[in-house]
Amino acid sequence: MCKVSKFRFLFITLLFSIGVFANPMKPGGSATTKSDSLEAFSLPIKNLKAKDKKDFFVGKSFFRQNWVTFPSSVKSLEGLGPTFIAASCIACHERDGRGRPPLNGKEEFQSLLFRISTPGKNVHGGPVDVPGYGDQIQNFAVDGVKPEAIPEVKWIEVSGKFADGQKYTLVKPEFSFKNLAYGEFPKEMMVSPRVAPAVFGLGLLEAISEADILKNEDVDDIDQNGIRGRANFVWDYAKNKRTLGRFGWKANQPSLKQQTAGAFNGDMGITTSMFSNQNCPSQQVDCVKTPQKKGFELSDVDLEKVVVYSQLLSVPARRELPPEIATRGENLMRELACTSCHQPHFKTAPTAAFAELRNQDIYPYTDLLVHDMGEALADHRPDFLASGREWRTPPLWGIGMIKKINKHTRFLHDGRARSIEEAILWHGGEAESSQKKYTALSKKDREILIQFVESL
Amino acid sequence: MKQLLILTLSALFFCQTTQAADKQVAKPSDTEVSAIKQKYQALVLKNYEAVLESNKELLKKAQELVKSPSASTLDAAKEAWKKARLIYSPTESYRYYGGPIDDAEKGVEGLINAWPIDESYLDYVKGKEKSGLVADAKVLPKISKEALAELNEKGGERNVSTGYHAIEFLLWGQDFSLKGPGERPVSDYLPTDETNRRRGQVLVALCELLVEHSQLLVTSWQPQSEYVKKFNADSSEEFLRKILVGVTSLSADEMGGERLTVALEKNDPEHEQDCFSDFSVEDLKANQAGIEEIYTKTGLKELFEKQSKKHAKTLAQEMQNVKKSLAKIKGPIDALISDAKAKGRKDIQAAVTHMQKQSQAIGKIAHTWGIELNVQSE
Repeated sequence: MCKVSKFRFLFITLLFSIGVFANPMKPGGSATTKSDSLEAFSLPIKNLKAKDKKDFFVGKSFFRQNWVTFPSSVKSLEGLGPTFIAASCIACHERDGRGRPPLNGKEEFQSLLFRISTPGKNVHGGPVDVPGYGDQIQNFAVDGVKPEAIPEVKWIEVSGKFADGQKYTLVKPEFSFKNLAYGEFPKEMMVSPRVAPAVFGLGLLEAISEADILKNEDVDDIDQNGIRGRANFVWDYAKNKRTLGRFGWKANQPSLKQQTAGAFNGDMGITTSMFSNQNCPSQQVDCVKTPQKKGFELSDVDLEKVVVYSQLLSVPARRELPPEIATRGENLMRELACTSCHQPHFKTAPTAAFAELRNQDIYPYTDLLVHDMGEALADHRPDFLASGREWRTPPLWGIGMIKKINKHTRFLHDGRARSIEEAILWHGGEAESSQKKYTALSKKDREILIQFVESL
Repeated sequence: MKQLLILTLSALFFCQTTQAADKQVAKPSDTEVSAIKQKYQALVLKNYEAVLESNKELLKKAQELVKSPSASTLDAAKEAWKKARLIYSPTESYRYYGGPIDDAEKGVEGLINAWPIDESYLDYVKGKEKSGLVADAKVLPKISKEALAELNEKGGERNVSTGYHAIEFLLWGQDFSLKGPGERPVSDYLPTDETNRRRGQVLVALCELLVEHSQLLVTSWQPQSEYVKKFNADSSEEFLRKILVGVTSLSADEMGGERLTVALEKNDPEHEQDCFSDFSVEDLKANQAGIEEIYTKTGLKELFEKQSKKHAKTLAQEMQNVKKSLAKIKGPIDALISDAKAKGRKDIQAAVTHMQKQSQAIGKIAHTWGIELNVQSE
């Protein structure tokens, strides 16, 4: 039947060049894995090379390790605190997935932290530390040191209506702090609650070229579709200048290395060569006086392995949907302009650090840009170029598996949405018209759209 | 015009792939695979029944230890733990595909077998004499199976309060010797103070939980169970994918990666798997026996040989190599782990290499059916 083999080579090459071989069912390209177990977010990329395998597993082990107070009988685990938010990476990034806020007033804060600052910009153009407290609230401390403050949450119900008359109820958090250990907070203090985001697939996001991200910027809304999109430029400690931010809820971290070292320092109180000072503002006398391990608590070699771990975690394969639902869902995503910000496709750069991550057709459903999300979601705390109303588009890949792996369906920066639908309903600002269109959909179409998002 | 071009190209592309498919991807025979499926289910059930029995025995010995603590009741409990491990470890081949053991919603693996553990979460350690749930009546006011299960992995994956390794720590204690296992004094179980009494209650409750959880596994794998009905409904390819994901993940990632590579690379005896009892190598041998058992006792071997003589031969060799290299390791391995220059490390390294190759050989055969495993090719 197919007697065209003479030209086959040429055609196949051509097909490759126009991207016909890209497969949206494999959102991480060749790095995608398939698993139905609890480990689904914790697997190495499918195309991992033997030489990187060691580092991946050692990094994985560090990611799970509980740090302990210095001095201890186990030297390799020393260095927790003096103040901290968690004793291990995995405590917040549970099963490499997504954190959540406490569901009621009794539960402790486990995987949601608070960034704080006072108005203005620091020497790098970033947020200004709060006197006595620094740039985030550490709600735990080692023996002999007081936790900075204890956060509390109250959930307030808000109601709304779909166009078809069906009612819905949302909840929004009201956060407060008690047991302030280092004086009253300044009146002008700005607070930004942030849950721990998922860790898988980050290496592929890091492998997208800067030009491909900037291409989607539309700061002045030249195409007049109401959707802008701004790249955040943030301080890069390794390069000693401002570079494109792509990680964190405000795209406030330029690289996984800086994100990781920052979390070790800010969240666990572990020093590295990048952030070598203990997180003790001078007013915190007990914190400053706490005995410390000599040198960095996490060596450069070990830090690198944790970074490699975060870079080489795979992306779960999409779950199959009946074809008519998949097609309808995909069309709805486009018609509602969800995909203007939740960009389905990128091709990773040929220059990415790991060969395994180069030239991959990936489907993360994010543009890595920050967008005005409206007043209801605003934290009113600018972070470099991101305003108090802007948030970075979070990737949607793997989102439907959070329920299974993390046993919850809490979404958005502070985890207020109790389902994917609630997350959509909270969209405002640049996404307001998409949100309106969603509420105007028939119940059936709303369900199809959610099913589609869950399959990503 | 552009659309027409793409259409034409796509048509040619499909011709290409169909032809390639005819040549390379054979469908496994449904009759043969269905016979394998039945034998696999029977094997899993039989092995979990043995796990249940061995855990009941462990519970009995733990109760005797707590009732009359002595060197001999402590030793008997340790022996029962070792026996139970040798029976449990082969069943680790049934993990990694979301079966009853580690189904993302209801799986009990984390409650049975979580590791590594932060021992100070559970009981006292050197330098922190009052740490852990055993002594802490605030965190664990009433000792019960439910409360202990609730606290497992709370606030981090190392915060392990249940399962084999928690029990191991309660029986052996911390291991400070490179020559032998931990030496928890039997006086830890004398009812002379509240903490000791609590320790005994925790130990018994943990063994009861283990029995309960192994009972769940036995129930889930009954021929008429909900799970087995779904399992039987899987296509031949999906069934093969699942059970091969199980053995390859265990071999390359768990045994080779997490248990041996990490311990070697971190030079830290804390990362020996059975770090309290120094039983790690025996466990690995039992893991490997579990992989071989599936291969030789379900008809999988014959199916592989029929599909690819070459790859099946490589696999048989690698299975031998894993066994041989494990036999060469002179335990306890904490000495080899902590000394980066120890000679015996090359034996561990060899085991890791063969565990990877064993998985790769399986991955290659699966590939000829168009079945993709999460096995790295190099």
